[in-house]
Amino acid sequence: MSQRRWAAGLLLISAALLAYELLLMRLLALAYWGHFAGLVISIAMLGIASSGLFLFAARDDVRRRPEKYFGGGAGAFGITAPLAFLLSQKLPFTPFLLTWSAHEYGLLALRSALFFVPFFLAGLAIGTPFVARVLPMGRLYFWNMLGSGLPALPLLGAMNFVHPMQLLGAVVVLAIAVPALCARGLLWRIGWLAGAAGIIATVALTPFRYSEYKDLPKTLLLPEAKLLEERYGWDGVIQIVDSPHTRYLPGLSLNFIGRLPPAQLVFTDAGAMTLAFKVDEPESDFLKQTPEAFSFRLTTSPRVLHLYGGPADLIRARLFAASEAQIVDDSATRVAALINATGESAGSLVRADARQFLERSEAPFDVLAVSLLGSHGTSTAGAASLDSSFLLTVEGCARLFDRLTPGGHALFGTWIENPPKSGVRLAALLIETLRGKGTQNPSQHLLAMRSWSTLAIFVGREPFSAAAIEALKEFSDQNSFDLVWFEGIEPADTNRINVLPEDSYYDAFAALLGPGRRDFIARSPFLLEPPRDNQPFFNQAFRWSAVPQWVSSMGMSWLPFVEWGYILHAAALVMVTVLGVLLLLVPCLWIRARPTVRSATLFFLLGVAYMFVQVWAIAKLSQFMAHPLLAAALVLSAMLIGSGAGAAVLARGTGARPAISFALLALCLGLAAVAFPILLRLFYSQPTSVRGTIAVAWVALPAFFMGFPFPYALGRLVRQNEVPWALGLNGFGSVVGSLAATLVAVHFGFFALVLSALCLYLLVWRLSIARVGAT
Amino acid sequence: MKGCTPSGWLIALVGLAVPIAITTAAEDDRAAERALMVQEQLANRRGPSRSSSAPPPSLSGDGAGGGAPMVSSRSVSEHLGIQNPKVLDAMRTVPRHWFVPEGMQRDAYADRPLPIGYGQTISQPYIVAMMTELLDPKPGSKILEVGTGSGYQAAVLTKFTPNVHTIEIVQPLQKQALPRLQRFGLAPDQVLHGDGYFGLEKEAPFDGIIVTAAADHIPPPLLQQLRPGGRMIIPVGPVHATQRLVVVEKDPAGKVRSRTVHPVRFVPLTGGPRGPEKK
Repeated sequence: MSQRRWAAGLLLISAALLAYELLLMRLLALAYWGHFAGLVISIAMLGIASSGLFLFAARDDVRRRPEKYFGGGAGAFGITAPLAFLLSQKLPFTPFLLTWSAHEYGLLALRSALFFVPFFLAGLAIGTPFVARVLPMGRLYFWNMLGSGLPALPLLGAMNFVHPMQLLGAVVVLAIAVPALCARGLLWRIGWLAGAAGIIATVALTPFRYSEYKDLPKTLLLPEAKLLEERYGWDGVIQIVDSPHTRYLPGLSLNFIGRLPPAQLVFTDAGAMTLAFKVDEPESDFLKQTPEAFSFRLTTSPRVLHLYGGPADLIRARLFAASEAQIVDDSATRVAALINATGESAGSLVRADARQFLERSEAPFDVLAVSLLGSHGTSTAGAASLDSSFLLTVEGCARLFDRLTPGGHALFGTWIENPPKSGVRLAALLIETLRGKGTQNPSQHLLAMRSWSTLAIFVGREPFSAAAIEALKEFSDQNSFDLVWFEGIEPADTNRINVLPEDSYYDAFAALLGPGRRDFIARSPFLLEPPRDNQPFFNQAFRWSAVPQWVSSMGMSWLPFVEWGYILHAAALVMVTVLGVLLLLVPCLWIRARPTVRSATLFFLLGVAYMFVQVWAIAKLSQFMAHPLLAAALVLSAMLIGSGAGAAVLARGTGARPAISFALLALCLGLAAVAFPILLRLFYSQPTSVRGTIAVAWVALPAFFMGFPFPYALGRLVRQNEVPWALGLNGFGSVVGSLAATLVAVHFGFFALVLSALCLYLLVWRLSIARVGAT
Repeated sequence: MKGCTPSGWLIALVGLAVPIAITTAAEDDRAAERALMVQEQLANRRGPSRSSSAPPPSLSGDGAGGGAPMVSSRSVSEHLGIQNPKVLDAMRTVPRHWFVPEGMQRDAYADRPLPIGYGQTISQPYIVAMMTELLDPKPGSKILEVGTGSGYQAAVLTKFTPNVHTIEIVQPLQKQALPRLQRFGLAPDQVLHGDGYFGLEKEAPFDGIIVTAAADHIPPPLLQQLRPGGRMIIPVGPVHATQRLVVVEKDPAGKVRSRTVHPVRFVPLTGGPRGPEKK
């Protein structure tokens, strides 16, 4: 087969694999939840790593007949990839059984094993040209990286038009084009193409199945409920449902005796429900009996901005004659659906990232409201615990307070939880922000009350007056809400109507505003430290150090209350490490010509270091680009293509100068880290196209030099039969690295993450100076 | 035609009786498991004890800068069991395995929630017992359950009063629950398919209401149908772990208050510098 065909084939299968990985992450998150998707895919990706073992065992045959392994692996991947997903949809999944049922773990393992197969086959196809050395290493790496970098942005674009499951057809086309290129006879080609057509038709005709525990399928079981429309967007699949028997209004007063008006339901990814009340609904008095309505006792004709609110907030603002009211939501698809369902104008419902909107908005607001009332089950189970939020950080809240008019206030709403986590951490964050802004007595700037299910905290730009406190007391009394905080509150004022066993919210305010606040935070069983931009994980409240306390006071009953997103991520890291060792390192003991410790470490660390930089870049650009998915697509494209180009240029021939390349890598990475805050300050409020261009340059420059070490080290291997091992270990390091990077960011911050990456690359340089694999 | 001999009749009767006896035995052959569940998980349930030598974990400093105990108001090993003997009797009597799907029979008497299909669960026995204890139904009192689900909670309530009405909005679940609950004496017009949000106007007022469906707010019609002096119980939290139970009480004047009960005890967030004690 010609070199050109090898290059084209490697590009195609690399593109197919990355497209599959991205689609699988999206599809599993859509059908189930994101944290389960991460767990399943991480384990399945060991298939790529373990293909190295197979290639090693079959290396002689692979070198004799590389086309067979290349075309066969790619073609089989094209067929098994969508089939694995379709079969996984048939497997039952009951997430809450994971806390105690071994059977459920068996199903999870089966699901991972299903996906292991296509990942193994793709790894086999990609590894073959490296083992057979059909092209120089630098060029192979270039085509591999270029192919991997290509599909992210087109996939994101295509998600605006079709359901992500249908895009599995693109994976099939890309993958089966490889055997079509390699096959010698026309009949073989026709056979592969017919197979592809059959698989695509099967995918097209199979309905997508959501977990029965997601909100959408449960709603559709209700009488008269019907799915009106499904909208596809790169930022989510939106379902609009008419369900006259669903009524949703968190925090509604116990004193309300009327009827809630009908509304359409807008679901995002079959969960996260928003109610689309019609704007001119005459029966909107119910909105006066929620804690949020108190804002309008504090101010008249205000200019109101709701961050992550819903149409009900607009109706409430109009009910109280607000001079202007806007909702900011970060999903363009959801905003379009809400505008369609409510008839609101695009000026009232704005698609924007909350933090970025605050940066670019000019006139200040009298009321700035932030709703944390997402899906209750999801938030209390910690499904979103690893999601970053640059609004709920000290810096984000400081910016928010800056956007208030002198007499204005911010309002934060969250759930009452048992045990209290979000509400207490929110209080800690707001108090810390006030202190950071030089507020002498933060207590005077705070009012708080709770209904039986929600907590509302009001933060004044200036101290609240005695009249405001009296108004709070009166409003609470009228609506049977409980007072939680105002300057001068007595314990006897609290916990009277909606009685909690201990009023943890009042206690927390008292502790956080008192001299013992540091001790309170340090000794809490939850992480209460106010998040900062360097560690913007507001929902991650789990502390390892508290586990002995939990166990001693609750036995194993604490398990359902931890952040499952975090726990599953940590579990995935442990499982992947153990399985990787079993699949890759243990076989070393029985096989002669195994890799040296030095080369094993080198290729493993190369994978880890690369993923550390990738995760760091995605996290930083999530803020800069104001959307994590857009950031991920940009980083994947720019970084992989940049690395491919670097490999082609820097690792060409034998004249490469490793010291200079490594020094430039370190310099560019360091520069990127230092330059980021400056770029953020200068360009954060610029249009997406400007930020996107800058982001690509910011990522591509260090990525260019990051493309050098891997092909350079491969080229310097003493024993060439170690190449498959090197590929496997690098794949293993990539999976471990992507999981470990998130944990490093959560516990030590993004700066520590990029610093670790830098140190790892220096270590790689030291290891690769010697002729790799020499004993 | 050859007539049937007396011994033939006897054999035929025995032949008929055996399956019935087997069925009855099968239905109740798990009484020992039930008794064990009631004894260990419901009656004698305790919070985990701590070694007396280990200092109690602390959460925060008190006003004087010292460490206030995190579990300051708790005994070392706390009794969390169900106190009401009638509730324990009811839990001992109602076969939970009748309400559990075929594939989950093995776990029918584990103190766990179990899936019953349609994204719904049968609550863990401890929660059912605790909700019943909190409701405190009296003989003859009229009870409304919103969200029949498997029917297990309603079956337990029938051990206190025959005036139990239950509504399920998912029709297949209601259809499955009806024959089960008929064995406990409920008539078809007491096991209804419909929207429980609006309660059951024609049977109102109720002495007690149990809302087993997830609720973000308390349906006003249910509050109106609650008799003054009556109680409503609502579990709040994700499906796998009811994190709190809210008891809504309507006083004789019609004033409504709520009270939260924590079925699972936590390390409370107390111990911060408190203000003066409540007067």
